[in-house]
Amino acid sequence: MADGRDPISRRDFVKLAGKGALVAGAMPAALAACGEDAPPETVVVTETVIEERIVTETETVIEEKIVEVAGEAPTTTLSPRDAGLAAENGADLLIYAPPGREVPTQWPGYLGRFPQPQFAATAGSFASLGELQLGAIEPDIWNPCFAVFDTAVSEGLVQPWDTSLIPNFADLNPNLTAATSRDGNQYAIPLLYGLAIPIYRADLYTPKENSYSILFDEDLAGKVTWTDSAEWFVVAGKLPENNVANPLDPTEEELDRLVEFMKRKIRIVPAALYSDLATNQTDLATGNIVASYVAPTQWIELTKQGVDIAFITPDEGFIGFSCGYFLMADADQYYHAHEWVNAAVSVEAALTISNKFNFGNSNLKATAVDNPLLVDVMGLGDPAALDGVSLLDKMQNIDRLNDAWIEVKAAAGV
Amino acid sequence: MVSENDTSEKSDTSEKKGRVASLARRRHRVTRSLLALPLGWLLLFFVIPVSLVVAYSVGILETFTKEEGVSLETWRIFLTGENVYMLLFIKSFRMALIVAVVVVILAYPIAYFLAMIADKYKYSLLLLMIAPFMTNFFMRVMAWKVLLGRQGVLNSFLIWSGLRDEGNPIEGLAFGEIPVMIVLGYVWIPFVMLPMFAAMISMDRRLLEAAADLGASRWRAFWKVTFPLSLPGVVASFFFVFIPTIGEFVVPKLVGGTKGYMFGSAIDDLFGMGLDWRTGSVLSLWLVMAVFVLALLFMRLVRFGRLAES
Repeated sequence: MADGRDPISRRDFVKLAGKGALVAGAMPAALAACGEDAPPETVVVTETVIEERIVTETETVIEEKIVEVAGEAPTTTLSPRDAGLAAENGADLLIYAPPGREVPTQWPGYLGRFPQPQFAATAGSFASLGELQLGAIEPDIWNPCFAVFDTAVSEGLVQPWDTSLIPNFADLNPNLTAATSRDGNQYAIPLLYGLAIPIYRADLYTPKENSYSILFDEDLAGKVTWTDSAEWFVVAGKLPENNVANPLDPTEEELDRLVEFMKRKIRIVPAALYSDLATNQTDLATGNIVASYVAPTQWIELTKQGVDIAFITPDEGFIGFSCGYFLMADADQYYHAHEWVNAAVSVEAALTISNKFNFGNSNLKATAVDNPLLVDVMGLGDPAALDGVSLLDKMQNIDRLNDAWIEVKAAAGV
Repeated sequence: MVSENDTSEKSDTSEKKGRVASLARRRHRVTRSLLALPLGWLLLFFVIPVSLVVAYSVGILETFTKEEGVSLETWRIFLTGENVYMLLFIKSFRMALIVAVVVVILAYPIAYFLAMIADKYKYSLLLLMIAPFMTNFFMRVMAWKVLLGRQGVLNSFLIWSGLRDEGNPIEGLAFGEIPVMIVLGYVWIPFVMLPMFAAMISMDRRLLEAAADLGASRWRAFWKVTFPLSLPGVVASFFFVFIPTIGEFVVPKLVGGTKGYMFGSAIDDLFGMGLDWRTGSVLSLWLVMAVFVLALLFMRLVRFGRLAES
């Protein structure tokens, strides 16, 4: 040849072409195994280069085949994440969550890559806290609402998440992530949030002021419903007349005053402290109940039904709640838990939460929801939407408030 | 000298004694092994759990680290009425008493009819009586809400018949103290009937014939013969209702509202949402003690009544 290299014989060419075909066939599999697609490349090809490359790559493929057949471990070093995942048995991942969370659309993309996790159903955030504290169940992930945050962290039940293992964490609402961190540790990954709004039948009642005080209005005695929860001390604590400095953490003296206030006021609640959303919704629709304290999901449902229902934006500022995931202190499936929670707060999962349940979701990118009211009311996608909201996640000494709440209920029954 | 006969008699006697002793030993072993299962059961499912509850009530065991250590403070607060739970206990006691008495009074004639009058149809009728109770408990309770609700069957009928104005239904029928007692009564009646039915069916009818032969009227025969003999069934029935009712929390949750809250509801809440196992344990133990004392008193009373009668 003109460049002085030895010409390639036809026989050699056929041999090389055969090797080339072998390598070409094996390359995608080898690259796929490394988790990469075949890189596009532009190469100036000469016969020698072709021969050298084909020989080298063929040898590599053969060596890999030998290793695979012989069952020897590959010599490549795994990342801590991959090594962790390999060391765990993903099928043992146990998630303690409200019923329904086991539906894979709420954690898309996980199932194809890892084994099916197990689920156990919680019967409420506080009841599950007690069960966990007693060791009645030992999950890896726990999904309560975060009024239990202070107790769960103080009791050492949970450990911080490693947010570097949760790529979707960067997209979560900073107000929610801040409320669920302590001392720089991210103890919980928020999934959803809601505002606790006072609503009323606009055709049957005209509120005197824009305030949570509508729920304590004695003119509405017998026609108001409350929820069965200690958060009523926060609601009552927000009223200017009760003069509580921090409704999320009242002092002993403030709490005593609130207990007396609540004992007086609970008598206007007609029958039930509702825990049954459907009945409450029906009562509001029929006018049996005129005012209630609900999550926006109920307001949206009633609006859809054509009920003349309005909500108040309280001058005291909204109360809000959020729910999500804790990593248990003795979680066995540490890395699988991170993979699962990453899937559970992805944009697709967040959209499912908003579309199916009408809750606000924590992922700021998940704004393409079916119901535009959610964007308007809940401020989906707006990192500042929860500024000034009293998040129940920040409630302190909830056990004290729960005790006081039970006493209020008992006093109403006496 | 000791004769051969004496020697053989002595050996016979000692042999017999040995046999008797070995028989007694065997009987002891059998008795002990027969007792082991129920005693073990009691130990495992009564003594140990109650001991744990006692330990929680005084702080020997704690659920959360914030609790104040070993003390009788929670007992003191409860017993001196510093919190509301003693009043709630009195209220629940009153409700349970009313329910138990009313239910026993209502169930007694039914049991009497089935045992003494229904004759060959008694078991078919008994089956009919308990047939509704083959359905789910929750559904039966919810059915009462449908019947008694603001827009329930009763109110709808009253409004339709003009006895109440439109938009002015009777309030408080679906939730409150009265609905709790109605539903509990409804739930317990068939179960209450059974012990009384069993007591009456096993009664010696010849006693009634004897009373009639001696000139007693049917009413007198009932009071002097039937009723005293059915009394153990009546007492058993009473406790069958009273004990679960005083600690009831499911029915109050469904139809109690704020007014129907009971002692059992408080225990449920303290162990559940309140996470206050210490107060919950104090209340639970108090309930056990109260029921135990009451049961003892009643048993004494019944025994005393029988003695006085005889």
